Amino acid sequence: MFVVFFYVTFLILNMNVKFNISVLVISFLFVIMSAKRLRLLLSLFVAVIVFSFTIFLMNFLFFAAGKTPYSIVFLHGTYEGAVRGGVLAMRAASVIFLSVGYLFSTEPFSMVQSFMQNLRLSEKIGYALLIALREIYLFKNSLVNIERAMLIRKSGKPIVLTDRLKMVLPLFAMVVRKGERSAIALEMRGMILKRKGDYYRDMSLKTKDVLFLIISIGLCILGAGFNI
Amino acid sequence: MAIRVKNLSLEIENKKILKDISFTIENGENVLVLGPSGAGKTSLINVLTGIIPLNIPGKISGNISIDGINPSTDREKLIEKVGMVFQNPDDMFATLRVEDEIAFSLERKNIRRGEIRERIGYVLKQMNLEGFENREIATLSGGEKQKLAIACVEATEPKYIFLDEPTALLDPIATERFFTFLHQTKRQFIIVEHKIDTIIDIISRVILINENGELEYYGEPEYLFNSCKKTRYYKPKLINLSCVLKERGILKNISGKKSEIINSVIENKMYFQNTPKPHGDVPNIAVEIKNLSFSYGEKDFGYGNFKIYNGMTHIVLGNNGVGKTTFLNILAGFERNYSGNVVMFGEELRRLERKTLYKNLGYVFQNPETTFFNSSVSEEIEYTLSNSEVERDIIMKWLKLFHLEEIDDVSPYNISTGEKRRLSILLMVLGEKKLLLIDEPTFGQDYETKERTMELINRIKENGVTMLIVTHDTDVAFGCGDFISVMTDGGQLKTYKNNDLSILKEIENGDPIINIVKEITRRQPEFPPLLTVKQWGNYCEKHI
Repeated sequence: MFVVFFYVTFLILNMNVKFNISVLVISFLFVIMSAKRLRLLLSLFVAVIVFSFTIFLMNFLFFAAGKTPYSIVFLHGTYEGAVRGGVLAMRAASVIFLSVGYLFSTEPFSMVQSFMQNLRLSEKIGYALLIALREIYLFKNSLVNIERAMLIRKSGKPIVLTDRLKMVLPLFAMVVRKGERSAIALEMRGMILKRKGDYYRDMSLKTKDVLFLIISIGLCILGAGFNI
Repeated sequence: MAIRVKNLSLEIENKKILKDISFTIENGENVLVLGPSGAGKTSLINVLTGIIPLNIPGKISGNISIDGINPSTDREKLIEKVGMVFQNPDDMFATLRVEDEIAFSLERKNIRRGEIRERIGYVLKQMNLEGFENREIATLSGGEKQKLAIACVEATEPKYIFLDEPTALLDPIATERFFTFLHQTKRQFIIVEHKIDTIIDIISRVILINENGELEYYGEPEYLFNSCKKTRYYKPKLINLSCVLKERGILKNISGKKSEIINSVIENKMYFQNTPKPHGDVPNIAVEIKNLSFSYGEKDFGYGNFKIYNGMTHIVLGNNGVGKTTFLNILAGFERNYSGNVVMFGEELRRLERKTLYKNLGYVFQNPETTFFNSSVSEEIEYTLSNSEVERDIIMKWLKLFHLEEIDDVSPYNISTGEKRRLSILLMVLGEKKLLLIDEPTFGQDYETKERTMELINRIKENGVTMLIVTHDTDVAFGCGDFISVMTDGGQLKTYKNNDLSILKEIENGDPIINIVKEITRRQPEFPPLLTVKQWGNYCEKHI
């Protein structure tokens, strides 16, 4: 997460092309290195390239403040538009890679465990987050079933806003009761006991994490130092 | 050291739940807590584990001691001694993978990483879950989840395990396996359970609480069960069957032993009385299914051909995960991406308008609360009324039929389990539906509630409603069904008439009556179709 904050801050502050290239490279490497579902990532890669190219094209062709004419193959735009478009395209690609890359490469459980072990996140909050994640599925399922029940009880007439409002209470009640039951169960399993021993999964920073951080910061500084 | 309870009374929101209960559970005794719905069985377990009053408010009087620990005041010490398994295992899980879940409790008990790894390996082996270490919990079946729940508890090596209806969501095979695993742990357990027939062999004491929250019996199960005295509580099926046979002079003793019953029945040549009735004319077809198949995620269900006859009750029997609910969802028009044809109300299901379909079709969900979204029973009924063209008189007729006329101003969330189930069926049958789909009508119900639900299903049938019920309860199947289909893995359906005993080769579960009839028909194929205690009783009354 530190790396993400670091990149995002610099992306917002910096318009340097080389800096953006270094950030994009690091982001892409990060995703490729840690990802497990490569096929899915490849499709993401194609989508990001198309999206970024569109941003570049829009800026290159229609940047109002551009003064110096510039041509790329048969396209005629401005030099300022090309630089701005390039920077924005890389920035967008980096942000998408980093944010979506997290979803593909990091399990919520590992992330929360890491927060608990490295950032001293309270275990109560950590496990509450995990239970909430599990509840999303339950909530979705319940909503689908309530809608189906309502449709049948309305003899197939469309579900209108007032019907939807009626769904709020049972859904809310279900979630609260499930949360209550989970809290009791986890307490009985020892949640209230003060943990002093080992974590089963060790989430402490490893050499490769430190190396990755150093290389990232180094590349960014290097990129920021050379202006176009 | 033991569990001692003296003059325990419990009051929740000014309502007396338990009254003056005393008992002592000695070391090594496994205890079954019995009683009707609402008697306070779960409350007793909650008091013994300190959940009441520490998590759920309640006023307790009397003394409770678990190896000298007061559960209401010293929870940290208590947790070192006890483990708890809940009805729905999903409530117990906080992580995403099997080994992380087992490690959760061990981490809290300050066990070193190496030992955690060893214990995970050991319990997974013991629970027959080897190779499941990295499996996502969400991908496990109901039975596997409940096994994982007990593995989590067993890994912490508690002295006592408390279980609150742990098999409510499991099919008969998974239930039997669950009890085998529980027995294998060699821990002392106290369990609330309705499935007496399956658990009776591994318990040594019974606590019976009556509907007033008073202790009616505490002692050995044999003394409570081995008599034909009429009681309000459920007895094992083999005892009930023994009583039926003893009354007719076929059996001399009430031991509830399978071999004695089988031998007596065969010696008395009861099978020669066999006169299976022809089923009569086959009525018109209400739904015709041809080459039906459906894919759901990585699962493929090939249901094939199936017919639902007008005015008949069709039962689909099958274990957890074979595709029963998916089958209902297709017929209810919820899943439309199926292959094959489903002709319902004279039209292909995909082409049927929603209004036409749901004017004629009702669907009773497994969880009755899914159907409720108003603040009182009467509002629920009015809501359905405003959406259909049914006269008030008809509604009152149904209300009386469902015994719900006296709770019309109560919130549907605050009524008993049986009333919730009855109300959910009523809301779906109102509007004069022609076809009713019912998903597991008796799941998690005690004997009495189950009997009432079955009686209700038979009354709905008398009113001409066609029904398709999916269940893994053989009592419902043979007590309510005209046609019974067995669904195997992959969704294949084999259909039999209710009086056709060749269905027995398709049924593999621990039901003692079915096992007895299987054994008798193996030795003497000419035998009447008697698959419930009631059917035995009726048959003996008529023929012996």
